[in-house]
Amino acid sequence: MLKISHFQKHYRGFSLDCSMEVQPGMITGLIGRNGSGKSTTFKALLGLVHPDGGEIKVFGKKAEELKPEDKQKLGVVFADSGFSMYLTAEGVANIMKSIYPDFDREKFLQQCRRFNLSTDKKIKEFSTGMKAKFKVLAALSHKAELLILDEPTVGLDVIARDEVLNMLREYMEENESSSILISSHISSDLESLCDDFYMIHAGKIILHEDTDVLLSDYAVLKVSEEEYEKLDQQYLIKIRKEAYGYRCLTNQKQFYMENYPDVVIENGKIDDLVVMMEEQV
Amino acid sequence: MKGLFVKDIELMKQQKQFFILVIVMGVILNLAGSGSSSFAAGYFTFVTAIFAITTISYDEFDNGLAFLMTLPVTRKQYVAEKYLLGAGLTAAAWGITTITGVICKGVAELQGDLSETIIDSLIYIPLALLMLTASLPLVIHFGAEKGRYIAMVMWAIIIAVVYSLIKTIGLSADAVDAWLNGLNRGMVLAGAVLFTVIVYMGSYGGSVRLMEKKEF
Repeated sequence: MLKISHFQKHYRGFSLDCSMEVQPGMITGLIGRNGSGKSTTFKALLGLVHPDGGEIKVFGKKAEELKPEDKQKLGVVFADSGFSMYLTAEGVANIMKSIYPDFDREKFLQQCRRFNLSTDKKIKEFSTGMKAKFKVLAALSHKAELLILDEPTVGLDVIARDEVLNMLREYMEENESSSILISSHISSDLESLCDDFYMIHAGKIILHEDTDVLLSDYAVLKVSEEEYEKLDQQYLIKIRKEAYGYRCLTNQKQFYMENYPDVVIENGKIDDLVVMMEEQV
Repeated sequence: MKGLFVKDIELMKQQKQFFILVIVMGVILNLAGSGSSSFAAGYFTFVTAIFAITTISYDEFDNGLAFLMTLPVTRKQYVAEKYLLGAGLTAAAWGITTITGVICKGVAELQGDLSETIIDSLIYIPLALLMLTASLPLVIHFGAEKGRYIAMVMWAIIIAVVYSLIKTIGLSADAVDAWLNGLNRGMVLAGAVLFTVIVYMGSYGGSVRLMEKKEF
């Protein structure tokens, strides 16, 4: 569906070198701090920035060679961009009707009403949550095979976030062969949604893991200095000095649970990964 | 490209007050009789042609151009749509204001010189397109705000240079007027149209190259 092979982009003070893949029927997450290269990666795979090296293939074609008929199979949400705020939902529906053969105008407007989005108000009059829902609805309205969603839940409260995530789940149930590439800085969103995820830091992919594996095999060990000395350290991925001793990240939770029953072991979460993986890079 | 036209039409629908104002002002100007209908046609042809540039401002608002380029359109189609929109708006504005002018002045009053009035005011179409020829590549390359200022500075420089040249060679306004009156209007118009078509197409080609290089 999507394959990025050592895509490189150099800016003053920042270089991106990214490789990743999105498989059909999968929801893949991209996590990383602000400025880590998430948005540049998204823009690159949509042909919005030109590569300095490497290759991006979307539906088997180079990103910069995508034709309008290929782009009809894409649904895109950017956190900081979208249809003109001066348009109304009805206006957007008219535009989409003229560019997407599979766009269902009535269903789209019906969905807008379902989420209490006025169809005759200008988008700029919507609240932050309404704007986010509207962008996602538009991206889901034309049977896209690949959804590229850059921070679709940014700035939303818990309820609005949940609604957006449910919209995505519903979409994947109805379109099983479609794929989603999504970025978010809210790790719980990705944990509950993604099949696998990539972590990007300072322009480089530093981890790729299945979400199930993360939740079952990764853990954080909290040990005193004395416990740390006795600990078999071969399965520790990252170690951080703390006031009480050491905080260690492992991807072999079972090994430590069986061999060190007295050690405090917390289940792994994306947040732990973000904090610990980025620290020592 | 149809989608881009629909988008701009939708945006224009949101600006219907502006277009109503254009028509109302056209009627007032014509009725007031202070200027010729040709003046009104010229003024509103330019004002409306500029709206093609304004649509780029709307596209760029809130970083919207990046999103637009993810839709099933090519960069070349985006530029082509702006040039076609510019030409369409120019022709429509000229047509509406000229017809309004003819109706306001009364066909009878103009009967004698109706064709002359129309030929005189036709020159505003190539002039408005020349304005777009120079402005659109700047706006596409630098963005609507910056590009507009650069275009204004450029026009100010061109006018200053032409003015200085006229002063230097001691050309009087009367002499220019006499020379213009001596020319065949039809030939001048045909030459202006041909020249405009060539430079408008050239400007389009340049804008496509600028757009292809652009990053969002």
